[in-house]
Amino acid sequence: MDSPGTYLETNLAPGSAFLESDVAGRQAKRSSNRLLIAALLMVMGLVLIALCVPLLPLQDPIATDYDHMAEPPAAGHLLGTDLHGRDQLSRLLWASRTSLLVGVVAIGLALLAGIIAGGAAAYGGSLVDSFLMRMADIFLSFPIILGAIAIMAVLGPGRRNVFIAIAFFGWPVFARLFRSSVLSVKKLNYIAAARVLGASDARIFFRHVLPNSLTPLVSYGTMAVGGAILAEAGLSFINLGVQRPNPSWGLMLSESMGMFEQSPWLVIPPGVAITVTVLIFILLGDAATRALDPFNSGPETR
Amino acid sequence: MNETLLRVLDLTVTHRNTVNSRPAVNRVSFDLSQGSTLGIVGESGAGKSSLALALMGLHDSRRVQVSGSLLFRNTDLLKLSEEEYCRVRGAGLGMIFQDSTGALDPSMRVEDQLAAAIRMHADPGRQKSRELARSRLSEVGITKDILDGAPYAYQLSGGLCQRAMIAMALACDPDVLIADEPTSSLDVTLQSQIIALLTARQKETGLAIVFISHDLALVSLFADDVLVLHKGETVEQGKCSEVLANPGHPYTRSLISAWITGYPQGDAAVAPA
Amino acid sequence: MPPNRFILHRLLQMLVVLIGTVTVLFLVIYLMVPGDAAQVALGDHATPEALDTLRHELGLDQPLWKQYGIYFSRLAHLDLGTSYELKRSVGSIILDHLPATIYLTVAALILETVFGIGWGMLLTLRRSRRLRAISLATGALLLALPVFFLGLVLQYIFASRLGILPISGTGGWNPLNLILPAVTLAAAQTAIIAAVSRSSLSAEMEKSYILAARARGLTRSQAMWRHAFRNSFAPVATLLAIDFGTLLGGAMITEIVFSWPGLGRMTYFAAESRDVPLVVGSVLVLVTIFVIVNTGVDIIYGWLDPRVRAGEGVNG
Repeated sequence: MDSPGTYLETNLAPGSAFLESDVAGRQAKRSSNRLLIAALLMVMGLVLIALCVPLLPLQDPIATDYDHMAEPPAAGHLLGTDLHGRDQLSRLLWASRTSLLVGVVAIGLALLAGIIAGGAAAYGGSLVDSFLMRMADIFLSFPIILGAIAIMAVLGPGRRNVFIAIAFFGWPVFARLFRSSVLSVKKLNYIAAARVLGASDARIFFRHVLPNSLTPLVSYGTMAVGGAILAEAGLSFINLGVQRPNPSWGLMLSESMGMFEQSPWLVIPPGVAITVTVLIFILLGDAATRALDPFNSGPETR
Repeated sequence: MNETLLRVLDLTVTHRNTVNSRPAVNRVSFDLSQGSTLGIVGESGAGKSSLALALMGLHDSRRVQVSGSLLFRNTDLLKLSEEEYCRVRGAGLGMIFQDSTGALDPSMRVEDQLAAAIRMHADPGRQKSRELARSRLSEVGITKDILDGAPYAYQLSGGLCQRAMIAMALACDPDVLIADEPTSSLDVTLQSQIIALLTARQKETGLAIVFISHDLALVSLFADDVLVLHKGETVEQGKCSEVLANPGHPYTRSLISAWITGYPQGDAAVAPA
Repeated sequence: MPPNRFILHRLLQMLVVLIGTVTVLFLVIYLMVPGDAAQVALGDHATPEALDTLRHELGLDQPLWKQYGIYFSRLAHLDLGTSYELKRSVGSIILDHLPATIYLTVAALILETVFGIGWGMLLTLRRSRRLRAISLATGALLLALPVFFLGLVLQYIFASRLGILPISGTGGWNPLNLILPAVTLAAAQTAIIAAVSRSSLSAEMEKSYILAARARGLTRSQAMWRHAFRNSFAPVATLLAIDFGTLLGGAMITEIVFSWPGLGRMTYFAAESRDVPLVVGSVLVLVTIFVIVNTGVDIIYGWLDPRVRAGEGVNG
């Protein structure tokens, strides 16, 4: 018994999007599906661009040309050139591959590790559970950036180590999410029913527990990709990520640090590129959360 | 002395989001005078709580529409702005709820909450209001000892919480008290104690009470008038004794016949179903 | 559990985390460095004899568990080792730079608390759909903007163009210098805090006692301030504590952009020169501060919650 909205016995109960009379609920469901489709299209667009970059008629992103340093956008160089005479546009587009790759792979690794750890914790009995969760706590106690820096300082810079660093500190969250998800799904009645009907543990896990436990991971995962992209950019910015002369948005920004006034074309495009890419992933994560939530509670209120 | 405090005419409550659906409350009308008790009876979903919230103006106007006329001392409450309504609530109209523990702030001591409520309506100063709070709580049976041992709401039993909640509502000295199933979660002994509390206050101050319940038997013990609600519609209304003697509507009759100890009425044989 | 046991439990947990952290850092240094510390220190051109001498000095020729013991006992004496590059004790270098970082972090924390919670409250009280849409868009933008880009943009607008704020440095503790870096640092977190406090507050506002309070004549905003806020603060407090750690980490980038002489910037230069003891030392210090603050907030908040005080125990 709560305030007006829930205090009353109304027919705006969870799942009401399926009731005939709930117009607003159905509208909300439609618009959240539309949002999801839009976000998916945008992500696919990004991936497509990144994949097609080698096929485009672009200049060599690492070819230097000291006769044309830091030139503003012109016919030959649509986004100008940087301090080493390299074509900005080409570097910008090639860098998208790095960012997307790091984002997806690092989070993919973290997700995998998280699912394994979380699953083990949920099924392995209380000793395994406590041990794994303590480990997760320790990792969680590190602010990711600091931890990534420590790892990079020791492993050495470079793109491959960025994957490891991000995954290293990313897995605990997924492990926790998955574990609590699995634990609550395990308690649901239809699992017990399946067991009564004779299904083996493995079958139950793969057909019932796993698919239903993945929902929170999907929504967190997509946003985490955005976070990983930001992390890669940050690490490259402080020269611990992708190394010169390879293109990375973060690196491009660090090279043009004091030069906003003279050469804005060096600063704005990479910054905007990062922001837009991350925004798209945030949008996807938000849309996925809303669409996957079966209890799409009616009109937006409160 | 017995002025009419509340005149409700064709009060209708509809939810905006559900089209083609019947209103939660449909054209309910009644009058309430000083010192009298109106019992509103109906089953779950009949619209009783919707009605209560509508009287208090606590519905979310973006989701719910309330129409008709609601005259409290000759002011149409439905025409008031939210700020104006705030002034009427508490001092004019008060409300108590079914879930008493939930109705109290979990992180404040009960006496502090009551003191704050007292200061809201007539500020006698911090020290004085604390003393007043303690004495009011004693009056409803929550003694100093209880308070020292269990100062917080979740530490008190359901019955004690209910009394604390009543003390809070009465601290504002309302003219009308709307009681939304205040005893439904209590056992029979506690029920009668709570009702005794309310009727005592009524005798002292002329408090008018709207007592909402699903229990017609309970209501018949102390209400002056009764209104039976079924799916938002008024199916029976009038003086308590008359309604019970001659129930016009089959629904009312079914409510009455649901008592194990029957109330003799006409030729309907009363037998446990 | 009764309050004293609760505090003890939390402190124990903190100790475990710290020890775990130290262990992990130790393993990271000694197991993951390709080549070893001596090699890193002396570079590629070192003679084998020099390497051996240094190794013996650093105790690298001891078995692993012995090295761990040495490491640990050094830490217990607050000896964080000596910087390869700067040839000073790591501890003193850190102490030189720590105040500036804390100054910046605290300023950012205050900004994000005030504006984040304020924004959340505004959204709770004024429930207009347009306001929510604008908030969501702004919030998403703040989250997606990389810290360094925001810093550069703000620097350009306010310092270069408008010239009203200084570009970099602390200016000798001049508060004006603090504004840009603190805002940059706080921006993203403000959006998160606003979202969390809004959802926490709104959920609380739906509860019965708020309805009861309004039934007594309190306006929505009065009910929020006097009752809902206090009861819904927990998730925000947790977030703020975690944020402290995040800020400490994010401060590095902001410090670089604004040439702020703090620990983060120093760690960056240390990492550039692969000065392992310094990097590890400062990471350790930052993590320790973070863990202590977190535990402290946990304890304080747990103590304030009457249910825990009374010994009924609360969800961790």
